[in-house]
Amino acid sequence: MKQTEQNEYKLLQGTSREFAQKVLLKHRAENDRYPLGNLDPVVFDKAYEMDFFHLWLPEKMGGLDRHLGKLCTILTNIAEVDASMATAVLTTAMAQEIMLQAGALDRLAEVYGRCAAPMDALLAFAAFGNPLEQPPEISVMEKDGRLSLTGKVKGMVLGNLAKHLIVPGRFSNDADNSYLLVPSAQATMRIGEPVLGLGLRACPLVDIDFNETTGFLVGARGKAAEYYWRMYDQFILAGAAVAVGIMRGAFTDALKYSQARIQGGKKIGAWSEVQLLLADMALKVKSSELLIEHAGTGSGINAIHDNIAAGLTVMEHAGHVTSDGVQILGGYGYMEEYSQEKRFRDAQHLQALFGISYLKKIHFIKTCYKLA
Amino acid sequence: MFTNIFLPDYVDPAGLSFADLNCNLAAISRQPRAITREVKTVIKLARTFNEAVVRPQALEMDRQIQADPDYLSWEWVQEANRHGFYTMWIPKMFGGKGYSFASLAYFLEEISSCCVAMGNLIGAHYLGLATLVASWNLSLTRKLSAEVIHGEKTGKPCLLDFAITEPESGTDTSEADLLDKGRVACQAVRENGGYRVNGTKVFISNGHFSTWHLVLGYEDVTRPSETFLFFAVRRDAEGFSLGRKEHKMGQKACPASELILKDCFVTDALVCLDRRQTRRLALSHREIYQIIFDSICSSSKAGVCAFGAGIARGVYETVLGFAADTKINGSFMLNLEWVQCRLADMLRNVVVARLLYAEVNFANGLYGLNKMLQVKPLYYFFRYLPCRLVLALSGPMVKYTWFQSILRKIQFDWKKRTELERTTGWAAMAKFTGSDLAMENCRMGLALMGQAGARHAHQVEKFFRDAKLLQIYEGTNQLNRMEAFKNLIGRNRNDVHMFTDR
Repeated sequence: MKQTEQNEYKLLQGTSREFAQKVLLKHRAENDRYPLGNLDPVVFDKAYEMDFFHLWLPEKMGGLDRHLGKLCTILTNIAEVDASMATAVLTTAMAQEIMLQAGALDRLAEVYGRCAAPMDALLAFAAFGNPLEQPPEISVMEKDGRLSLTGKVKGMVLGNLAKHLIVPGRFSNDADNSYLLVPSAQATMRIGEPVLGLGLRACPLVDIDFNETTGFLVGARGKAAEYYWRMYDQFILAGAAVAVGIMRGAFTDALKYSQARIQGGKKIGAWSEVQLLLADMALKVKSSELLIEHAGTGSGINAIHDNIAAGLTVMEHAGHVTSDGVQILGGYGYMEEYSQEKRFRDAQHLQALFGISYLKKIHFIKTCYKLA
Repeated sequence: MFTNIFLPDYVDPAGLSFADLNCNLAAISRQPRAITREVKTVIKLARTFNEAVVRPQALEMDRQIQADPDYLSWEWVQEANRHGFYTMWIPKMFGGKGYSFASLAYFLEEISSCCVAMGNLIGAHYLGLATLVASWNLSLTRKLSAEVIHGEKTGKPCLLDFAITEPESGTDTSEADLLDKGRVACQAVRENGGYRVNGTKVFISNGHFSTWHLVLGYEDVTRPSETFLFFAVRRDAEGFSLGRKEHKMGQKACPASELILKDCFVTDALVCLDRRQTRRLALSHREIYQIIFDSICSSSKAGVCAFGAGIARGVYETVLGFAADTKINGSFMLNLEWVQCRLADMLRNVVVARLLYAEVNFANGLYGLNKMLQVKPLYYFFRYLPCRLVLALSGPMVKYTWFQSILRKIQFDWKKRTELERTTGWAAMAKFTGSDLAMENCRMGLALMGQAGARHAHQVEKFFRDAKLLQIYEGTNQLNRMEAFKNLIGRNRNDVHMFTDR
């Protein structure tokens, strides 16, 4: 890596860590009560000020020009403190990538050209689904050159905050889905109540009903799955970067607690069974970091295989590491005052990113090893 | 012994006998048949209760407490009281309905398949009762049981709980060896006619609902295992107060409470067991600590394993319904091979957890806390005699201190070490296995359902949050693994040293 690039990474690390420590930490517990409590928009305002929702955009739009390594670095640092904000940044970037894959630069420029407030920069996207799962429930009609959407979309991440949504819908004569850009301020849309979920609660998720709602085609008709999988091939690694951040936080807190808590006359970190638990955590964190680092350096088809293999492995690790993180703290780990329980929920919720875990594995073996 | 006559006197290379490994075979002819009918009855009762109360309210209750973490689910306690669940497993000689403790685990599995917090609202009450029974203080057991029964009749629930954990001492309390190295602080100073107690207990299940707290204290906190005492404190006692209700990740309807004792005076009549009561026994006070603790835990850990079986089953049933209704690429999930195999795994986990708590039940019936009341003549005597008659006959016996002394002699001095180790070892194994299997099913369920599983409305995410606590309370699973080793693997080996890690 060149010196200038190293310096850039350091700068990004410093900025994202500072944002996480100074802004997110203060609001983490309160925002985690959402939707049963309030979501303080200040975290989105600050993230917007730091350009986190522009990260993935081309340079001329103020972004880092689709630099996966840099995106991963920022996501990891943010997720170490609060995975919800990391997921909000990630979701917006996923939607941007769909538009970029579709070649819809004009539409993207239009969205971000008018961007004057934090919520303008967010893009809502069904980040927890994939084209292999539920069949689409949105039909698209074309009349007088205007496209209208009717039906329901489940699990739109940021759907109640963002000014624009990227939604899959199907034209009546098409065999496959297309992506549409939908401005959210329309009377023909009914945005449901934010869904109470397992984790990632400050990154809201809603179901939306469309009734002849206006939308704009993104890219070519019937190409949604193609754009999705191309986005997935890269972004599975970004999802894993969020998981690494969660794991790091869990391990750091567990290690610290093991040095302070005394049971049986000595620090619990001095008991070999606890050491083994900590070692398992450390190995998973370290190997996950290495996997992401390695996967991020490749190119071509092998890089895609590496991304998916790394992403699926790391996200699974996060479930185990955060569970052990709670276990080390015992009863205290189970309490909301300690952040381990939140990480435990967030990590498990994150595993549903891009859809059902088992399907992602089957997709991996089928596509990467050309299995029938 | 029966096992030596009828079963092969086989000892495996690790020192485990046939009887150690097959409690079920030894129990077949010794367990009263009517217990099977009892099990069927309590499962039916639990199912009816689930359909009427738990299933329709579980998610809303969980949501309500997430919105207001200090909310107390009194309405559930009232419902359980109204259905008679707080007296069902109190022995008839103390005025209860006298159901066998062996059936309690099946009942708890059933309730937990809907909501484990409701299971613990009932189960933790019997942990308090088990403390009284394991101390063999008959008069105090009769007194407190009478209040529970009165509470059922008047509609004002009277619950018991067991308070051992302290802010600096969790794992320490499980073993006498660890206790003496630990940092306990609940001090009971002897005064005329009783003890003056100062200390704080934390994470006490049902603390905010209980009328009576069964508390573990120490006369000398530097020698806790030699000076421990169990005593009962009423919630309105002078010097006693409730502290905070913990904000837990799951099992939200069952509060974990802080109990504060500040110059709280406990009269001798409320002391379950102290040094004065054990000095005539052959065993040391320290050895009695371990017997009591192991006896209580052998009973309660069967309950935790049943909670695990219940959660594992709840997840399995939810996922089965989801797979039958959900299509992937045009096919119902239920017809996909990988889904079928995961469902088989999930059912396997339910069955294994159930077999394990059943084995602990057998062990407890043969050698543990349930032994006396499961001896056939006594069992049928209590079962078929009307409660009033049982009370009239047993009443005087309960008051005689000599009778209590004889029982303690039998239960402590004559307790066979191998039998205690057998129940303790099986209970520890059941506890960590049942809770691990519950977690495994939750993980599989969430992975199988994707984003739907992570939604509160689908319940699997609640099961997941609830299940994690099973790996922590009643001793962390790490400690339970050590107890399984100590009581089953390392017990006859001179080269084994426990809790030194050297």
